[in-house]
Amino acid sequence: MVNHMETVAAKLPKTLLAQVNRLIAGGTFPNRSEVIRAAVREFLEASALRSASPENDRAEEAERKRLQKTLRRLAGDPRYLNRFVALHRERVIDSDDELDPLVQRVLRREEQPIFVERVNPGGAPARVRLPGVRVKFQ
Amino acid sequence: MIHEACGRFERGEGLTDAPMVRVGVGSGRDRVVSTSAVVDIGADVCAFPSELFPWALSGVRSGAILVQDVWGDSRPAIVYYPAITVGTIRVNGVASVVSAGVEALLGRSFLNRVEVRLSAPRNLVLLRATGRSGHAETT
Repeated sequence: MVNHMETVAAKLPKTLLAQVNRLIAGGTFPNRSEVIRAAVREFLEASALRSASPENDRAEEAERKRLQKTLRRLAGDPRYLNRFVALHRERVIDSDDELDPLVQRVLRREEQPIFVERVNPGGAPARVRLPGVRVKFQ
Repeated sequence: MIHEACGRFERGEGLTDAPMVRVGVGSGRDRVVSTSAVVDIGADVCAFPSELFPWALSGVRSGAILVQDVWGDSRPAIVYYPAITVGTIRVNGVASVVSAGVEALLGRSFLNRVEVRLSAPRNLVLLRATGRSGHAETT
């Protein structure tokens, strides 16, 4: 396999580097390069999501399809059906019967991104109702 | 200890006055924006326009979500979990739809944690959190 990677030099503040080292010491990442690659990917992904574009729509759609596939798989597991799960890289890292305690716990975790989803029968997406609509005079 | 926030009824472009409060939405250290939001007990979650945020949103989110409007139409959306501050009430991890063009709403993902008092004749919009509100805390 051809390695297309290039070496780049970058300076980081000591506090940021200490946080990077903690991620490696904790086993989340094998080395600094992998942390930086993950961070850059995450930044580019977030930037793409923010900019309104067909690419943005495609990225969101692809992300949604990956999540739905994972949720369909989890719907067949009685440990997760009708519960909330926290997913990182399509693996369950935490779960709970209630949304709030799960969100509070995962907000303290360092993995990114984390998706908090409800595992409905058949992997159907959760629905939220926003019926509020303001009527304007033309 | 009691924490409170006050707002007021405002007319805007609608048919009737709406209960409004000033809201701070934080998605990380030094990343806080503020806006006026309608107090909407009919909304399952809060909602904020993506234009409000001058940075890329990331972090904990829900991506397999359908938002249903008053006509029953659904569309996919992403729910984020920012910290929301209203007056001296601060709640972390509040489920909030962030989407282009939506009106800012303070929905039940926030309101279920506080006491809500509304009185249009008295122009009263009062949110109050006590120690029993769970995640509510002072700012």
